[in-house]
Amino acid sequence: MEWYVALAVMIGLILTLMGFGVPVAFAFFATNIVSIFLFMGGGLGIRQMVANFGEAVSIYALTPLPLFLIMGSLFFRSGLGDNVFHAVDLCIGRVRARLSYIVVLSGAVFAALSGSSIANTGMMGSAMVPEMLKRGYKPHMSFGPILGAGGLAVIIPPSSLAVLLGSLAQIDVGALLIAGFLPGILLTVMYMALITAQVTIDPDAAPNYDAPVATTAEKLRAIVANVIPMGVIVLMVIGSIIAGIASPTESAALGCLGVLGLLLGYRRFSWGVIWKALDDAMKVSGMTFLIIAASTTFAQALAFSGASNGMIQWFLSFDLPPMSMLFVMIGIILILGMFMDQLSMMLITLPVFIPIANQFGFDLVWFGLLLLLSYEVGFTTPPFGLLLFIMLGVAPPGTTLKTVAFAALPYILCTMLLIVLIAFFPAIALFLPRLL
Amino acid sequence: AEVTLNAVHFTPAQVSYARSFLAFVAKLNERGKGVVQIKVRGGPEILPLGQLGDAQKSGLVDMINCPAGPYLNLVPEGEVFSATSKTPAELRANGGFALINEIYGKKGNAFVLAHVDGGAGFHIFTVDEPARTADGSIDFSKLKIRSSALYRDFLEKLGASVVVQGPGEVYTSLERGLVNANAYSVAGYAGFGWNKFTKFRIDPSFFQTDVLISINKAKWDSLPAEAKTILQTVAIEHEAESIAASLKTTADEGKALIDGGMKVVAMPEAQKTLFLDTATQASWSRLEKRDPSNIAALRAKFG
Amino acid sequence: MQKLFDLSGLAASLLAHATRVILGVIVLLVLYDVAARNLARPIAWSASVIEILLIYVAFLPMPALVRQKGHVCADFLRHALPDAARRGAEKLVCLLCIGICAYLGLIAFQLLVENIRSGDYDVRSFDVPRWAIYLPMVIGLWLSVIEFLRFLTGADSLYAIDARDIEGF
Ligand code: NA
Ligand code: NA
Repeated sequence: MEWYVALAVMIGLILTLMGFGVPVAFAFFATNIVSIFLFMGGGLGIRQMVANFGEAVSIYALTPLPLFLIMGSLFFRSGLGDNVFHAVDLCIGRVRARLSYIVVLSGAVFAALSGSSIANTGMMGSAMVPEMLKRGYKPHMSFGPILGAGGLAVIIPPSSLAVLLGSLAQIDVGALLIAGFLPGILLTVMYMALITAQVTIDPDAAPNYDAPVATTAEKLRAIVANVIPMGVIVLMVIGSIIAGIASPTESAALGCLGVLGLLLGYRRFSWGVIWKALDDAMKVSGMTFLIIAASTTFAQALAFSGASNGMIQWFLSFDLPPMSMLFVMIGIILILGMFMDQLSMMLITLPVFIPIANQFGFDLVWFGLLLLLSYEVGFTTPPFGLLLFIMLGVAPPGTTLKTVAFAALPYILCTMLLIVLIAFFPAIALFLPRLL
Repeated sequence: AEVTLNAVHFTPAQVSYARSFLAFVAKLNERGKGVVQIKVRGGPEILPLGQLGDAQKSGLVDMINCPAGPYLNLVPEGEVFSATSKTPAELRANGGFALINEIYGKKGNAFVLAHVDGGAGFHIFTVDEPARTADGSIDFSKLKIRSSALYRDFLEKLGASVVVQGPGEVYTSLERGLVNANAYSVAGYAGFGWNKFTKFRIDPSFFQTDVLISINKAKWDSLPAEAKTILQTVAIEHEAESIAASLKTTADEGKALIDGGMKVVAMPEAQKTLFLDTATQASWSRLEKRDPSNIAALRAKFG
Repeated sequence: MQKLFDLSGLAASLLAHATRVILGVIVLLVLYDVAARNLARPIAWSASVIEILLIYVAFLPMPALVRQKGHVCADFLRHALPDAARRGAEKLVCLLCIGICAYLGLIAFQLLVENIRSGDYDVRSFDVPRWAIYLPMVIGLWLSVIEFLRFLTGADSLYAIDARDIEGF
């Protein structure tokens, strides 16, 4: 079968099924079954797929998702989060969309600690979304910043995705990690500018509810009362990573312990709160892991059918000058990113792209960072965007994929603008690595 | 008529193991024109490493390029490939290969054509200069070593603390001091950037890489004699060439690491012997725990 | 029929409870691992236990999430359909999901039985029996069949919100 027929069958099927309201995981299961019968020899392939489910989710690096969900949910459900927001209100005062700015800034800080976008999105989403919606923030001012900030985790070091990219593509891993630092900061600044623009155009998107006017003494008291709890969490999560006590994966559990200690200290502990937090984590992780199991096998079937490689080869068959070829490669990643996860994309594209980059004499650190940013976009592009699904999991019932995807759109455009900037001004990426 | 075998390799196409396998495929397709051809379907983007053994057993793929380690569940005896100090050529001569192929046929529905890319082993790399005990031996109890599942048992027997982690997390673990040592082969080490943190290499190396090229047994039995001859001949040629190439890569990359400032730490002779014996015993005792029935026969050939 | 659905609902919610407990256990295991590594000797088995538990986290809550409408959906074609066609489409979606879960559940069950018989295991930090990997899949997939059947009989709608309230994609 020609590659484009296989591609059309699989993409057409997944879009149709999702479009008619088949739950995402089941739409992937159905498409996998059909394509395995068409391309992978039927029954044997299905047995292999079922065997693969376990392998796709039994990955230690996925543990931070449920752990951070528990932590975020404990924080919110216990009312501890409320105190912190109150302190923020007192101190920052009447800055419009202040919670959106805070999401982006704290997202950048968490990105500097953890390399997991899905874990960061889960945590920020479960801790912040209910609060922001309660204060009348429109979806694009609440979901958007969290989705944008979630993606920062793979750009700002540490990043296990960057490490894998570096080792798979034979790029100096240390240089690639450091190269992500400035662009990560730049992206954070662009997000802040975006929020400012959005709230200037539509002030009602983040209503400026009455923040009490406070005296310096009151502010100080609020800070002390709330800096201590934040300090405990920060110490547990950040301190344990920096001190080498725990890996970024494990720090989430220490964060849970920290929140638990606070609950006891502030006399807010109850088994009900714990149970509720476990319930939140169960719902989002159960849904997300099932989708990961289903979509991983989809990417494998797509590769087995020859569709993904056929498409890549076709795009590359045009004899293009280097910069055009660069944007074609980025375009291919953006298209694939609509349907598959980052690791599958890397495995499929790198064997083809790296020789091309070498042939054109591209600086591999610069090229690797552009690829990393392009893979990152796939986290929030529909129809398959893992961060979108996680956001749907923590959002109130009735929130649609459309709402969440449109909230993410401006942030995706920021990332694309950054890609173009780095393509034409490589120094943004290469300045820091060259200092070393 | 020409027979076509489909094949999957265990690393991405640009990695040295896959490149070595693709070189074998190119050679075979050249020599096998009109008789037997290999069509490579791809690498881990198609089937994850852990599923290759099962996929070959069931017949979903005919040929795999994959280490024995990830499917010890199917064929626990595959352990002998990393534990043995004998070359594949010696094992073919003494009947060891025939013996292991009998076992692979029975348990994994597989026929092993060649043990490729072998010869080089694994080293322990450390961040600080390894501490010594009073008698000048290395004090492993001070080490927190990142390990893969393959050599975890052995490193524990040495008295080290062991953390099993995938390669993607090791860089951060070393950077943050979660581990102060790492066990891996010399080839590919710098590719992960780990040499930035680990400045010492403990010699000697232990085990050896256990990458196999194997074919579904039923498919193998169904092949015409001419196809079998070509496959086996080219595989044996490639086996020898790939071992020479892997030793050369290891020597080259090892030299590059040393030129980049890495220090080699040797053990006193007595501890070195004990070290290598412990490594071998760790493999054999794990095999014995899983299935002791073939141990005696295997020891006679591979031990 | 109602009796069956009540029973399956009970089973589903028990599985969801079990998953919550598992998540709590994962937190404790990681904490224990970190403490053991820093205070004494690290425990080698915890990472592998957690990896296996993640399979349970993926499949045990599956039926409860079906009933609670917790599996996310897109909707970009469905909302454009006229009312009657939309109701028809919902039934078709239920039928499809029943088919998928039953088929995959059957394969998982075959693999479960085969692996119990053969005593096959996965090589991790310790040897994990393969049947332990297929068990949550069999349970989750088959209970989901009943849960989708419940939607098919019209006891409830598959979707959390009325299609008229969706702006569409
Ligand atoms: Na990060
Ligand atoms: Na996407």
